[in-house]
Amino acid sequence: MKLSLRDAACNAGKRRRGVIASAGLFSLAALMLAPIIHAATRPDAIAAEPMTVETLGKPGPHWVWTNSMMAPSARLFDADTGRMLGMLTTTGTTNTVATNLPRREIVFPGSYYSRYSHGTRSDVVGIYSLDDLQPIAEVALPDGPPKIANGYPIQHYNSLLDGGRWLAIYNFNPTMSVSLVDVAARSYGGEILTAGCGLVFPAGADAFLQLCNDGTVQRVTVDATGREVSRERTKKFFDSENNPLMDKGARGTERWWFSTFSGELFGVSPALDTVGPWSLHERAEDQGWRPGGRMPLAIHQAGGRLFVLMHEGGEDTHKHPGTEVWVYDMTSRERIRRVQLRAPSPSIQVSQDDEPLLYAVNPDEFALDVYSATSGEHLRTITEVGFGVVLIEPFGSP
Amino acid sequence: MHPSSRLDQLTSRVTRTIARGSSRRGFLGRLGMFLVGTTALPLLPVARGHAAEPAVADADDSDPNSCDYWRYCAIDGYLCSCCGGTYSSCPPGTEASQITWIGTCRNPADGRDYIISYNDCCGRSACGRCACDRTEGDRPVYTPARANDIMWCLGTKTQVYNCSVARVIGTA
Repeated sequence: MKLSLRDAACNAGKRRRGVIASAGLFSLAALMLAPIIHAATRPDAIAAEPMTVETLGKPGPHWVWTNSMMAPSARLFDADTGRMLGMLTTTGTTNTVATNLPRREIVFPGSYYSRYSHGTRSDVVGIYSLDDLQPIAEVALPDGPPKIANGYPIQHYNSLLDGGRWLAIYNFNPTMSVSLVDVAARSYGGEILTAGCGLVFPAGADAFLQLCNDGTVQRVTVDATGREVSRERTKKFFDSENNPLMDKGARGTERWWFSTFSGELFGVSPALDTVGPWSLHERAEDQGWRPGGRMPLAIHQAGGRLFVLMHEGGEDTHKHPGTEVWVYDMTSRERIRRVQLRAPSPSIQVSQDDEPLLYAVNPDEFALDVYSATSGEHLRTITEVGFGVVLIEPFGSP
Repeated sequence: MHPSSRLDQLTSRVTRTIARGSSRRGFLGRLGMFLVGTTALPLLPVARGHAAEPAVADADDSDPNSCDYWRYCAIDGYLCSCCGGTYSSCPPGTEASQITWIGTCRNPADGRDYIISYNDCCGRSACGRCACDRTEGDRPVYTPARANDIMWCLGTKTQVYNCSVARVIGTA
């Protein structure tokens, strides 16, 4: 084969480019390997640090979720150290992230669009491992008009019933109903229409309570397949028009407790036995104070202590952040302490162990303030717990 | 604020709000009665979603970007006027929900009470500007027509909440 001068020049160019490319690859490889070669030949060589992924380990008594509304996510903290342990990405319809300790799982509803904010929507209950926060299963909710209640987060938009088999999800579209998902069997149970009644407060392994706009509380009981088997209501005992029960409750050992806008407590047992009113205003100087916020009530069950987020204000201030937490002995119904919060807070919760902590969202600093629930002493502030945190969910909370 | 479903799938069971006369203090009287049913009422905000807005004069010092603006007496959400829309129009790219809640607010410019339709704009994530929560007359979510915590992106293509408007739809 004869080569012209032009061909020869061209081939020389190709070879040169090939040589340059080869040299480049070699140089790159040498650069990448250099630290390893260098480390291996140095007398004081150390191995490159491995890259791993943490697991959670045994849950502590002061582990707590902070649930962010604006950037839907839940962050897990150890309140004893302030250390963040991990997080979950949630959705606008998630509301509460339910920790199912006996099953070592976390379950929550979510709504997902194929194009993030539009496209095909799918609603599922996600089930995550408490060992490594990985998704391990999901239960699809039926197709059809979306219905999971949505809006400003409310803790009892969804709840695990006692025993952790059924996740009850409140729907509003604007039909009011409850969907039941068997998180043990990973299956959808069914939907129960609950016109006039909203939210879900666990009342046994197969029953939940609801607040109704006729001034009553309703109990719905389901069978082994999640279908309704009975429905009963209390007599009317509160004025939903002029002084309603807040749509936030706290669970004591025998009953759920709710406060009216003006500060009268009522308790309702799973058997629909009601007690109250119990006024939070026991002294003259208490007048002018009201409960308020997004999670205004918390109960330490073993200690029989009720914690109420209070602020100075009048009518229509039921969502105002609290400046103090008033602590009551639930047996004597006497106030035993007023805790001055270091920052106004919309939401409080308490751990359930023998040395309980009181948690208060501090929205101005995107923080969680941690207090001793027995003394009221401020212990620490955990910063950067999420943008727009509304709900706090301690492990083991009722 | 929030949730779900296509309008044509909802028409047989949609909840509709109509305005009532105002009371001295806000929402209770202002929000009106909550009806569940199938009857199409000509004055419903659902039916009037695209009706022309009557001209209402504002006081000189009115600021539609302020939570104190008179139309916002029963609003809870991000003000669309801060998000690319106005007090009566949604930002570009969003979709106006036709299912809504109703208030009656007094206009300081003329001392009259006006029926206000608080429509949510949907299809973009939360605007995050000019958050405004006026709790006068607000009631718990188990009384939906009076609960401003509920997301009302109902009957829209997506149920993703962006912001809220406050449209005058009549006099009280």
